[in-house]
Amino acid sequence: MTSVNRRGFLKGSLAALPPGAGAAQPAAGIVDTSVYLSQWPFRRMDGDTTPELVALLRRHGVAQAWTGSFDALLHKDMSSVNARLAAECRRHGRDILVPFGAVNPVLPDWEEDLRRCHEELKMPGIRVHPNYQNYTLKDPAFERLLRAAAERGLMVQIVCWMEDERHHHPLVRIPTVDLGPLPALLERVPQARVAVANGFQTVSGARQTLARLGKFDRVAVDFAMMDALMELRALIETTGIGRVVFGSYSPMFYFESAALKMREAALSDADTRAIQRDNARRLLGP
Amino acid sequence: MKIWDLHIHPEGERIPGRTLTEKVENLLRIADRMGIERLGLFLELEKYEKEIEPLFARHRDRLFGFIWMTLWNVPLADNIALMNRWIAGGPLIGIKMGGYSGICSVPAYDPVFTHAASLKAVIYIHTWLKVGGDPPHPGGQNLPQESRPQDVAVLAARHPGIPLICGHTGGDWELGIRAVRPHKNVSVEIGGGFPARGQVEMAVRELGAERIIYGSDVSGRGFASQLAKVYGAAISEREKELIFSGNLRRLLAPIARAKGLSV
Repeated sequence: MTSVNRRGFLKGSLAALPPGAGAAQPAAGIVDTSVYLSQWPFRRMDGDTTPELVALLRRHGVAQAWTGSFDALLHKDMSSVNARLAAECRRHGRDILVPFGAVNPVLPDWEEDLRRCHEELKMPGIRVHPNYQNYTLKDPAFERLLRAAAERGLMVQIVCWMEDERHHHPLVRIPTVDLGPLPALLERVPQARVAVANGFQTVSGARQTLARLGKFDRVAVDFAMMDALMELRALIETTGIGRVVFGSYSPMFYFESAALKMREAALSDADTRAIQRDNARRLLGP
Repeated sequence: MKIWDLHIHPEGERIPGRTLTEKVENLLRIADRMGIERLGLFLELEKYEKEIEPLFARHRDRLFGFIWMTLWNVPLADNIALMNRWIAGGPLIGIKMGGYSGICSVPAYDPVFTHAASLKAVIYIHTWLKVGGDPPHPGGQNLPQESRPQDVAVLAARHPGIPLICGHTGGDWELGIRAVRPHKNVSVEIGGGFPARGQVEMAVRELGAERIIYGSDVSGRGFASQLAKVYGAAISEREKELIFSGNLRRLLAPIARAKGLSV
């Protein structure tokens, strides 16, 4: 993985955004916690081949990208999804892409998928999509997965949403994950480290859950799908600066969206560094 | 690059300020930070009637304004009078139909559009296609008085000489772009949805960059996510300039000239 010192971080920060009069800029050395390989099932897009995506991330100053696979949404053979993901990351982005394998705890023998992610593919975490795999966070199977991942020291990324519900294919309508049960789960599984991706569109719609999550120092939330004026600032005020990580949701979303939200929020350099790098590195660990 | 934002809702708790004027001036400060030169305000006139003229006089080179108009439960004569008062005789330059305003293709509403055109007013129509219903289909979950891009297409076919803006590119933009594609008098506004990669590229490919207009839908959306659709699109710099301001300035030019405004 690329290492960037403070000078490089701030120098790079002036290059990556479109011109404007903004205070905070995106930074070289960004840890992007929300990136996908392979193809979205319903549309092709720029950046949906690994070399293109890696080039896009480098162009924007990303040093490390937590990377899952779109294949994990609908495939049942998770072992092959994860093996391909790891191979693609090694082949095209060894120094930048960090694979997060998929584990579906309602499939038979999911424990073996988890073991392979950890022991064979050397992944630092897993990424789950409960809504696409038809379970909720209240399901005992999810608590078992959370415990098993925590025992192995693996982080769990929970992805709550992939696409505007109003535009789903009429025959493939997927509800958003309800994060309401998560704080209680985190109380019961104190070793668990969790990152929430695409969890919230607005703070006002989830203020209580966000405030409860903000009390756990081993939890992070991204803001790729958060979208209202100055909503990143509202998120920081609700959870605290230490809980917020940068996620671009590339290639599905234009990378510039997350980067420009940093400018819109008029953050200090210290807060920019925390969100774009330090919080994610701390959560992921050594 | 010059950026004009077609689509601003200046009310709402997210925008600091007690009055319309305070809110707009705070919005202008954020717009400055984001590199946006002018803001198009969608105005619910009854809320701020007394503030509008002084506000537009003070920020003549930063603001342009639309009457937020309802079609289905307001007499035609009242809507005509509104346009005469605020566009012909006031500082506003266009009309906006929202998600509750009425289906724009209903022939009984035609006099609103023809009168707006006679004033050279810019016409913006909210559209969305929300999947739902039984069996589920695009538009099956729409509000009762919410236009679809197909409704704009019907209106456009009936009035090929009147320029129309199809708001939000139909929401479900892969369908919205197709719905208005045959009608050269229809432009699409890209604001109001998530910054899904491909929207602007598809619109440029299918409609041409000359038919695409940047707008944000602030404050329900942020400036950031909507600017990103253009900045991040795999299109030329010239196409970005057209989308960010060139096309809107071209549409605004006739009424701006009539009012002595710069574009």
